[in-house]
Amino acid sequence: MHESISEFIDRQNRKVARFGREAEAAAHEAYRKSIRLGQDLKLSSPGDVIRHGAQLLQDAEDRAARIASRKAEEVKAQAREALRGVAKNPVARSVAIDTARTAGNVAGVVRGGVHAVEGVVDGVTFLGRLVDPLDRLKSAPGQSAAEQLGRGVVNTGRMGVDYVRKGVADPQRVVTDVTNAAGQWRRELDPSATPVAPTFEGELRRNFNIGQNQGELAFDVGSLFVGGPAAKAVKGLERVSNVGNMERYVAQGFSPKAAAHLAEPYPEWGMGHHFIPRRMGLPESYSDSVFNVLKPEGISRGDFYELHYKVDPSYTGGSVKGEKWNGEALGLKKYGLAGRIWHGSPPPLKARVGGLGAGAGAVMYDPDDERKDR
Amino acid sequence: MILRQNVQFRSGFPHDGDDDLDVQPGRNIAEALGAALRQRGYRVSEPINGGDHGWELDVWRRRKRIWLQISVLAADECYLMTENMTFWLWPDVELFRAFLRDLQSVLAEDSRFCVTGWFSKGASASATELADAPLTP
Repeated sequence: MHESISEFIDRQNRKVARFGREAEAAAHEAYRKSIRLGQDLKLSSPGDVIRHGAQLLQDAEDRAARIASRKAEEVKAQAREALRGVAKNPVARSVAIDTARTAGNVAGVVRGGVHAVEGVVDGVTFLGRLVDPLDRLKSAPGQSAAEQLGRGVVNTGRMGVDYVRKGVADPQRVVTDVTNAAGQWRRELDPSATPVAPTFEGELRRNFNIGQNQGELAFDVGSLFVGGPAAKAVKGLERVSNVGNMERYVAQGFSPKAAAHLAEPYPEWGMGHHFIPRRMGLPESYSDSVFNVLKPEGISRGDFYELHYKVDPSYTGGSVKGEKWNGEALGLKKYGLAGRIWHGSPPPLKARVGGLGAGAGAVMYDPDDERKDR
Repeated sequence: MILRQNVQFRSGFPHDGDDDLDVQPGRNIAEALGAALRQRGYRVSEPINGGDHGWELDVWRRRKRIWLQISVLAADECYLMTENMTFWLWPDVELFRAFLRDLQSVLAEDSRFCVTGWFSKGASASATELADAPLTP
């Protein structure tokens, strides 16, 4: 509820009256003190009383501020001293820098989330205006959502065409632009791309900022497809678990020993399938994160190998208790690009497209379709 | 020129995997390949555990990288996959060809490797005709 003008004036008057009472009390206290100590304090009018009291209150406030400031300086000095201690010890220094970067990663993921929400809110508002038939009437000339959208499309298209034309005329310009963009990206994400800060504090700050950029990138890339993870997780529960189903693997031709191994749950320490392969050299904080690693819960080793074979062009098979596991020999077929993207992407990666494509995809998702190909 | 960047081979190396720890065999093969490539002037990483895939190596000539993966399904069925990791807009094809020729000679010179044949990226070793060399006109 908003405050009216008269309520505001009343509140201000109450504040002044309270201050007046406090100033008067302070002045009277000072007067009593001066009588006790035999000092001369002349307050001949009510105005003198208020003025003197106000000065006393102001002095007390200044003193408190000075004490607080001194305390803050002491705490800062202690923190600097502790940092100097850490900086002298190479192991502690390295741990502190790593910790700063990890803290930055977390902060960056949060920042990414905040930016994403801002984007969604802006987008929803814009979409709301776009479908509002009265938007053109309510907006200033040329500022309706439809006109802005039209201008954006035309301008973007024109910029693209201009850029291609200039690029053809001067290919070096494109090379320079790409190099600059890549260089900037590297400076923002790679701690080795910028010089080490001259002070330990500066180095912590530098690593925190880089960590933040990495974290936000992880969020942005990781949440590209989002939208259906919850739905998929629920549907995933329908997956028939072959954990403990040795017979299935014996039927595939494995010895009881190897079949038992394949029927075990895929281990937690297993590397899983990397949606963007590790060889691409992405930062580990993203590459090994839940946004990039597919490792369904409750899946057996054997079933995971089968899924891995289908979604990963560079996975042919391996050795299981000294026996050959070859996806092709088992009659499996590799997915095409669309299948690889859909079945090979971890659920958290399907989290940002919101209820759009991924939501629709989640409805289409059938865990058993992986087996229908056999 | 047809370029075949994957090779199927039989291995004379002892099994060095650990099923209990889910470590695939092939580290010893990666070490042997790494040593031989270093002798040919490449800078080679230590073997990298590729999880279910097997073992990997990063190989550099100057600042350009080539990736190599060793998957041992059994002694009589091993795969070596390679990937040209030079800048995708202007891949250094000549470097990659030279690397494949070097790899071919490394495999030929070490009696522990018995090459079954070379095949193209994306092809299946069993469904395609394997070639004797990575590069054929």
